[in-house]
Amino acid sequence: MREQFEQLKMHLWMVLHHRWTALGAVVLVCALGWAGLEAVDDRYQVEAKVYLDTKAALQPLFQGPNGAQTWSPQQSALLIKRTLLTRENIERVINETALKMKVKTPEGLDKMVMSLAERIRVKRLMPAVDEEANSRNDTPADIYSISFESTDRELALNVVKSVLDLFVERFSYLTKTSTKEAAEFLDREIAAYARNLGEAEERLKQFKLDNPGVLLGANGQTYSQRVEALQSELEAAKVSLREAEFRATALRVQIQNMAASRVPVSVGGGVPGQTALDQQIATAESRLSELLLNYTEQHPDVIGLRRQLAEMKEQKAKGLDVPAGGAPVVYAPATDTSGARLLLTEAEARAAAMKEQIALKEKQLLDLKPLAETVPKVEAELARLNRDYEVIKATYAELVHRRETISLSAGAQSAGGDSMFKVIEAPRLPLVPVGPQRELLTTAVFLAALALGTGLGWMRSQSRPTFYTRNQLATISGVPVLGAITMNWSVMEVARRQFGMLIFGMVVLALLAAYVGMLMHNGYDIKPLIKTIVEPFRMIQA
Amino acid sequence: MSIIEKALERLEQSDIRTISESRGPVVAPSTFPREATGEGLIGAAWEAGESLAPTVAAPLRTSQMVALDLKALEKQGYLTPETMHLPRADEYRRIKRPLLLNAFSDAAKKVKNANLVAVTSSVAGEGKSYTSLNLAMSIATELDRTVLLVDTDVFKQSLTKTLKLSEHPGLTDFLRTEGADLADYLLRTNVPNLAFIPAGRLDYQIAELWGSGKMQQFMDELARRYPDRLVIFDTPPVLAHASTLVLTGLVGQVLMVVEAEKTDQHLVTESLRVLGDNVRVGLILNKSNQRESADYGYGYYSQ
Repeated sequence: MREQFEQLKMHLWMVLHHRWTALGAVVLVCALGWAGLEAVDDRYQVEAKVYLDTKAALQPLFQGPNGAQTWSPQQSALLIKRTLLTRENIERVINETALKMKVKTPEGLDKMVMSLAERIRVKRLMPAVDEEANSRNDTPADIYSISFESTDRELALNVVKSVLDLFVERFSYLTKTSTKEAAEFLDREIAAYARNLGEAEERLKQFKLDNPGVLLGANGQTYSQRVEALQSELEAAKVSLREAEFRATALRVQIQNMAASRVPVSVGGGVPGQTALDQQIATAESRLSELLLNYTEQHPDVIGLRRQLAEMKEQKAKGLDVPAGGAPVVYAPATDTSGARLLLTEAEARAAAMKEQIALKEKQLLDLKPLAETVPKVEAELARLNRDYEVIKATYAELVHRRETISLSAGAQSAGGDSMFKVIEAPRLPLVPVGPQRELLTTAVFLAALALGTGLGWMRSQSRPTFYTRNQLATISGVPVLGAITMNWSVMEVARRQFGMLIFGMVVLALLAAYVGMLMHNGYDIKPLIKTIVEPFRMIQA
Repeated sequence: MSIIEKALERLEQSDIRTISESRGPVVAPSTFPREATGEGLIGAAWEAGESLAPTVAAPLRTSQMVALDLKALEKQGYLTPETMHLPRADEYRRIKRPLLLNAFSDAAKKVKNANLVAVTSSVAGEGKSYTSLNLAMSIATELDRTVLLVDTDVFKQSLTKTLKLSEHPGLTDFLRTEGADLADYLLRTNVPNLAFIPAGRLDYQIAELWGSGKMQQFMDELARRYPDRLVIFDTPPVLAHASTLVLTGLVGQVLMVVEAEKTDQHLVTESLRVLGDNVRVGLILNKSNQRESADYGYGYYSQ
């Protein structure tokens, strides 16, 4: 701590050593800064306030596809400014004001337009402080401020007036006719689209009529789907036909067999020579024919059955046969063949039906074949017609929706009367300048000068560092210091020194006085300050 | 044979002849007068010690006695025996202590020419002559020390001028004159225990003069013969004159005066570098504006 204090003291002493440099710098900077501040003209600001229903003003112009609001509350001021301050409009402002005198060349005009576009400010004001607004997330109110700053207050007034004129002109135009125009436009569009929609519908209908069954099956199948379906149906019908035919064949054989076996029974003696072997042979033969329906001659069952049959025939030929029922063997109850006959009739009927169906399907397939070329074209045409129709329908719906929105806002307009746009505060000639901040800048210059002077003094002491304390000398040189001898001022020197101090003090006082003077000159009221300083002393006295 | 030995020889011879004037022919020559000895004896002793007569036939001579204008010095801010009560005198006392300790302690005997002190500085105007004279005055008030102040700044000769002794021949003259008698150049003053040798004629080959054998001999004898006497040399600035380095090489201690708040730090370090490591240097911060009390307890010079 002591070390730091010593250091601080030393640095302070170093600066004091160059006090004249420091003071000179301070005086110079103060003089220049304050003179510069004097040279700067006062700036005046003129402001006008208007009420404008943002939504009504902007919605017809900048509406999104779904009728959504596409600008944020913060952007609305910018949008309005852009709409308002077009180049022609700014040129009009220039021509209406004294700025016209300043413009001499086209380049000058360009520059002037650019600078005005920057300097004319359109701002959306925050609502007055109230709880409700705060709770509503601080959405700006529909109040816009138009302001302009200039050293020439007449000019500022005229510029704002001119811009306000533009505002009134522009937005009264917008509020009165733009919705109407938009509505008329939309009406025309809607009518056109309604016509288009009708035509599209008609075209689609006609096309469907022109291309009947060919185009679409009952289930809306396409051509290839239909061909495929027909083919598979044809196949199925063929299979069914074969089934029915085989069934009929089998039934016929059965009926025959039944009839054969019945003869001896029904007659009583039976057919002579009909033995058990004969029966077996008959059964085997019928089985064989059955097998042959499904299998080729090479099938093992077929081969086996044939061999069996051959053996049985051989046995019969050898006379090994035994009469079919030495006693009651063949005496089977008579079998009624009427059921089998009924089945046979059914099978035959089915086969006939299938034949007919096959013929039909084949004819249908034959009919479809020549269309193979034209159908895809027709289908593509249909898809296009459908698409067109859908698009037209969607657009039409959208237009109708917009038209409704506009009707609504127009309704609001007529209901609210002139509340959509209103000049709240007309521009006035300002009496008090808004800038520069003279009091603040005076102090800033003073502080900067102090800092600069101190810095300069310190820098000078650092640029040619010398020794201030014995300790410093010992530390830096690394050589023992025997002692320090204080300056032995002669009377003359002391007098000169004191004189110097006196002058220094006087200059410092003068500087402070100048600072206070400048503050007061720049409108600072010093009385309250003096009062606050003096008051405690009075209290003590009292 | 040294100058002094020669002188001794002659003295012995002269003693025979002037036996009535001389009291102690054997003891006197090797010692400077001490406070203890009586006033009458001092004269004889000084006389005896410094009558380095070149010829046997020459009449016995004593060093010249000069009266310094102490009042005028006081007015200029110098210390005199009458102003030793001032706080300023105390600052010199503090410096004087380590200086004497370095010169006369037992440890100092190992150091060559420990009692010869050169006062110098980096640049002109830092207060070498002021410090030299004040230190000399301070040491002269010691009870058992004598001081010889030598102005070796032949260029400015500020010490000689301050003491108003410019018309007297000085060290350069002594060195240039063949067979010169130191007694003719040494000046006794009205301050007891303080003697002075002026600078002498300006000589541009001063470095060579300081480097001469005679100078070497002179310095050696000053150191050897009078070990209780402190010799202070006021020299030119280190960075201004190369001759200074020759002188600092001949002495046992160097005091470098640094002017506070004015001398550049790098000049001081440069001077120290130029002086080299073989020289025992002590610094004095002169013209300080800081209170000495803040420096209590810092780096005492003790070796």
